[in-house]
Amino acid sequence: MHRLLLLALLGTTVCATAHPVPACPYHAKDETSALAILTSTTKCSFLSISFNPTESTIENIARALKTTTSLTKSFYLSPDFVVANDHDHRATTLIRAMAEHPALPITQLGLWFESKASTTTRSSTDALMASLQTLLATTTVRIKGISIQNQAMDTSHVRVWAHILQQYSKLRTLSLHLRSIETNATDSAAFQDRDAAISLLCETLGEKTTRLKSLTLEPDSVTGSLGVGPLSSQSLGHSLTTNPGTLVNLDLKGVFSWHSDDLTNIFNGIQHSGRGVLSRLVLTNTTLASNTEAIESLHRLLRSDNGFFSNLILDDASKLSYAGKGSFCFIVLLYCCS
Amino acid sequence: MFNRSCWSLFVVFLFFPTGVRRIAKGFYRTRTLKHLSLLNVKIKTDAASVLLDSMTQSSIETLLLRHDGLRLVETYKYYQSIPNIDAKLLAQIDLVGKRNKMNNERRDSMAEL
Repeated sequence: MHRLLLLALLGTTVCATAHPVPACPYHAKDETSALAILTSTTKCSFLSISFNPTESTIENIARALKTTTSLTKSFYLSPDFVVANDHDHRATTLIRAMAEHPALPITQLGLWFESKASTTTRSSTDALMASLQTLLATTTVRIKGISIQNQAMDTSHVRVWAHILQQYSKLRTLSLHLRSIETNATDSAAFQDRDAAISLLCETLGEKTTRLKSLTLEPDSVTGSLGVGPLSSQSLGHSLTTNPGTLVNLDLKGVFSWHSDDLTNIFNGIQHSGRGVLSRLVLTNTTLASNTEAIESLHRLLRSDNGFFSNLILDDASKLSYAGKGSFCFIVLLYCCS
Repeated sequence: MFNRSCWSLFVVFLFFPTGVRRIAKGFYRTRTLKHLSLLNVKIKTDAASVLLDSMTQSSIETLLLRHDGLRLVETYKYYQSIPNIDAKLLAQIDLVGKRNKMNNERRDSMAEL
């Protein structure tokens, strides 16, 4: 009996050593397990670097990334990965390593690493954008989705993304955090610059070469503002009408500065998109209000029952209200004839 | 028509549609819209009942309503305080949503056949 138990135990140990590759999807907590996934002969669809690697660890992971054939789909840098300052190039080293791969198999890239707010500045994001531009300019790269969290983009970076979307047509999903713009300062140069930059991004959605299916833009704080204005609403409304067959999900948070006319542009754009496919629209923190053209255009859009528009999220609409059975007013006409 | 020697008083009532009513009347009897979220919108029990009325005639599966309730404080974490809508009404909304979902699934499977 004891011999049988010993044999069973030995068998289990042999089996365990015969399969050293961790189960997939995998959140690597150390260098060894990350390298085991990247250098394995077994395919894995998801790897997240869920620890804060040292410089030497990064070199080893970068070397493995340059030749990996096992990681077939998603590669993430989790918030456990903390970029310490502007001179910390660990994240960009990994991105540049991917650009050197002769046939990179990764299709989803999640850059969710943290940056120390006190010691990192805009130049850190500049370096990130430069490395991403290099990666996406590589002809063999077939990345379809990019998600960047915890790294707020500035207005100039939004322009770079518009340029990337024009050049790189393989992207299907894009999710970005933008640095908040002051809500009440719609006359400021910063606001108008941001509006123009987002407008440029929206214009690319109207081009037939763009095949983006999902776009998410949100401010870096839950109460922050994206800084969208009339230019971006006109561009977006126009793009939804001219290139209706691609965008499925549009997620815009913190749109305080879009007023009735701007929201009307969006709702009309969706309604007039013919054979459009937009099924999910998120507009949070809107100023959508009663008795405006915007609410009427939304009413018409919903009534149109176009067959594809199925999800509407209007959270934190500050002026949307209900006042019983219709608000009414008395108009007193005093007609004096004498 | 008007007597020139006296004051004539006309009182005209103009009923203006309100935001939530227009949304509710928008999706009334539609088949497309399945999910509507109005979190932190100033909606109370009477407005929610108008939405529920439209919901029963449409295909909406989920209607999310809370005022001064759920607020996203940081990614994936919610802070919940006392909702401003009658709990019975929310339960009814939930029930109608489930019934609509079942009907939608049945209709989709019939369409596939």
